[in-house]
Amino acid sequence: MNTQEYIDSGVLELYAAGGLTPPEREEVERMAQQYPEVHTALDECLQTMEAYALTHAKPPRPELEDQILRKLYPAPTAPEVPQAPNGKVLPFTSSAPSLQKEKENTRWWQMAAAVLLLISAAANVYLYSSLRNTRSELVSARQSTRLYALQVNQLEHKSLQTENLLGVLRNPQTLAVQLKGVPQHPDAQATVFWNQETKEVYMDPARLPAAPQGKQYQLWALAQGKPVDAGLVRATERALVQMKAVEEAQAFAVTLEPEGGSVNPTLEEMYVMGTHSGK
Amino acid sequence: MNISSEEELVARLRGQDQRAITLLYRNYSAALYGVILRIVKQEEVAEDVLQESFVKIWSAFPSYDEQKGRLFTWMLNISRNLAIDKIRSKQYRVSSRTQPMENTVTSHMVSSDGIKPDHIGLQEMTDRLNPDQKVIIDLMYFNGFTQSEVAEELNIPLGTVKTRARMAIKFLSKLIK
Repeated sequence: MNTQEYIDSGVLELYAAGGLTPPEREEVERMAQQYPEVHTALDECLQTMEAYALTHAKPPRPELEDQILRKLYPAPTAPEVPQAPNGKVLPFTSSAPSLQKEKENTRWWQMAAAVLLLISAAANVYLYSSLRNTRSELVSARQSTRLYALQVNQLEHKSLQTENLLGVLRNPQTLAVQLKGVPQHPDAQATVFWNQETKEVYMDPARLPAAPQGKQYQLWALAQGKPVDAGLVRATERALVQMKAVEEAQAFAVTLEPEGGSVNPTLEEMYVMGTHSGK
Repeated sequence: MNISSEEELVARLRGQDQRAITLLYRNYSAALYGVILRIVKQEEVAEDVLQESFVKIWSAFPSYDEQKGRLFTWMLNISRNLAIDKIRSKQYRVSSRTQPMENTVTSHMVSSDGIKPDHIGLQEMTDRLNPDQKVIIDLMYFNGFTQSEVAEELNIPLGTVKTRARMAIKFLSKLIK
């Protein structure tokens, strides 16, 4: 059995993402049990899907916790019915005043007990609500920690990309082309970085107005007067974006196009344009 | 999620330790709720499914076998299956067909308070996933499609479904490591 071929087939990923029928799942589980390398690869897929699931995490309403936990705890056993208190036997000899005194005494104790009970009840309410707050804070803190861990990875990934970009910009072969706003959009501005050697193109769209819903900016390279699609800028991108490689261009222009881009530029929706002096 | 704590939790749950259930809830409720909400799209329904999930997790716990898989994966599967059953039930069919897959939950996250800043970053992270690949993972994970149903829905060969699923998870695992 060639396990590498099996791992490469993508069936483990389908398993992790939940795309297999029960018999297919069983087959994967059998393979994982039999071959340690399949087991390892499968576990990695499953952990990745766990992390993917976590990116959707959202704490439920805090009130839900008690409601759900109450369903899970075994029902508490009914408290025993307290026996009726035995009557106190008072000796006949006890004189009326002392009985009166005892009554007063009892009343005093009763009042004191009632006050204490009230104080304790109030304290309970207060402590309980602060406990609940602490609990829900703790829940969010825990979830955040996990999410932060994921975010750190993402930042690492981003910084690696930034380093790569810096390399591109520092390269003496890279040509910076300033694209200036057309008369309808005087404030718009963008910069295209074009590596003359590798033909790679990066664009800084930061000073283009935010694209409206359903629209996207599209970069065009103008070669011999003809526009050539140089790629789309996603609405969320605000930093340097890698565009399509461009073989030849005398100028670059950016137009606003329907989402997904167009085959030919919509000239009325041109925002910025710039020519380069060449090297 | 670190494994040793998962192991410890499993041991305590085996021993019917009541505090362990609370811990289980606090550790995993947000993760499970998020996935459920992504599937059923309505908070009220998601809360019901979360409750059903914990009841099932607790009642089925004796049958959980850590040799076969991690606790979190096992719990995710229970919650996903319950949520997917819910959207497949009659009253859901009509409305879910007309609903776009993506928007509901994303807009929801932005409006929710709590751990909002993280979501934006993480959303971006998964946004980097190639949309052709992402849709395959999402159809399977959040809509319960099988590989052949995905192939049919997207009108692509089965082999392509496999390759894209593999590429997507490879890409995600690099981001996560």
